[in-house]
Amino acid sequence: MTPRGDHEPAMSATPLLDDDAIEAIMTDAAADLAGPLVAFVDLVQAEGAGAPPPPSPILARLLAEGAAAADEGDAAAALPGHDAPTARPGGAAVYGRRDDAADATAQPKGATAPAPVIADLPARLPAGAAARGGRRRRRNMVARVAGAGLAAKVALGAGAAAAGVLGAGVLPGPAGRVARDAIEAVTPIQFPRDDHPADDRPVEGRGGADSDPGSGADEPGEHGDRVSPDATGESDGQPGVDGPQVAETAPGADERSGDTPATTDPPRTPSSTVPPSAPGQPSDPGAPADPGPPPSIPSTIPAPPTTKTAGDAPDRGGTTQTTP
Amino acid sequence: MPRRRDRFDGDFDEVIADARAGSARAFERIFTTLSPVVTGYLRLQGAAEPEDLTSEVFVAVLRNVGSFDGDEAGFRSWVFTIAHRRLLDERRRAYRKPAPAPLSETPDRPAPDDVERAVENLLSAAEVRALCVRLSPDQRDVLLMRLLGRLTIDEVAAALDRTPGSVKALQRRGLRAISRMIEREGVPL
Repeated sequence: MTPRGDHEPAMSATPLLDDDAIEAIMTDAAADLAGPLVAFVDLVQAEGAGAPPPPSPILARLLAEGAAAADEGDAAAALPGHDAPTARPGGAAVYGRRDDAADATAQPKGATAPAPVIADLPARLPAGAAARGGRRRRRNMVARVAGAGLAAKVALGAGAAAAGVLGAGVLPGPAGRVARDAIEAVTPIQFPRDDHPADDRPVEGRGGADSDPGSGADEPGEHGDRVSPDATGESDGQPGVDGPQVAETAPGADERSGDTPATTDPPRTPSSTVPPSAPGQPSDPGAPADPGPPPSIPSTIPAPPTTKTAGDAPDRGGTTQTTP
Repeated sequence: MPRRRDRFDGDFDEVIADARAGSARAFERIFTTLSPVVTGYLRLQGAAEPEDLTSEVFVAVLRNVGSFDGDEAGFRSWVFTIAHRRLLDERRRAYRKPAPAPLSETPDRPAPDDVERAVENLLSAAEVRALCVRLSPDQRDVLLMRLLGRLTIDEVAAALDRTPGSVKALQRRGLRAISRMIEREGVPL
């Protein structure tokens, strides 16, 4: 059976070559025969008949010094990553990487840079290893989150969202503290403890011109921590604060008139029966500065009114409202 | 008359013994004797830098000649095996096969009807390289190892990790391919 592709010579002028003819051509035994193949063989062999090529510097050193240079090369080749070719009895070589330390120093065309010495590693680490370590840590964290359960992912997402809300200062102080405590209880997130957190820090003008930012009197979370001198009677000898009066330390002092004690109008709701122009009411522009005891309020409310002061502390002097 | 396979003029045993002892003169003898054929082999294989590659081959040969044990034929086979492995390494580095010689580099050929001039001209070296590059890699390996290394079928088979039968088949097909290219394209002979 003729091998595939061997049909063409039947139509060709080139004679079909048998093994003997081929061997004669390859060994120059057919030199007396004229033919394209013989000429081709001659020209191929002429390619290997030139002068020796110029040796590389490493080879030139080997040729000049002999085994002394070869021994140095062997020592260099013993470095990690340098596999020297080994001869087998049959002549075939078992070959590994061709890199030699000496080759690297010669830097022939296409040669790679010398292999890094292990002692140089610490000096090289800060340049690229830190970034690689950061990337590796991020990859590990992403993989850990991806492998977590659904509940853990939900909790982690909720915690991250709440931490973002708190960090942005969206929630007011007390709500923020509650949310912070809740987050700290159910997640490993710990918020920094600060005596004056950013969201509770007094803002200039927030408590009025007369307010003391450092006193903490305006801080809603510290209601009741301090007792006003008006409440204790140290200021005027009379304990307590009249309902219509507003303490000077109350918010909005700068908006109130200086001499006339500013009061806050009660909310005008349809159920309120308090006439806006009733004597002694804060809304009365002609009301005296110290109206004395609160007048009895004509009211249709059958039950005794529950007096509720805006703010829990009497010193706040906040708005006094009469609510059903 | 068959060409002589002995390239060391009968001094191979002495040369190899001196080379094992680290003699610089033996090193030089080995290099001057075998480097031209190794360079020709690498050049016809399409190596980008055959001379640099030849130096790499002989650096490896001379550094490890102490581990060689055999006759001259075995030594040539060992040297060509190293050269072939280095060539493969270079091709792997280049990530590409050897590009065929562009037509612009081939010399002008006479018209096919100019028989006299065609007879007078021989294949130039560039044409030989172009023909070799157009062979299949396996055929080229076999033919060049046989012609330049003067290796036997069995030695080529050992160097290329093939069976002697496959080497014979590749040799035959390679020669036929050369013949076809010469005939069809009017390469003057």
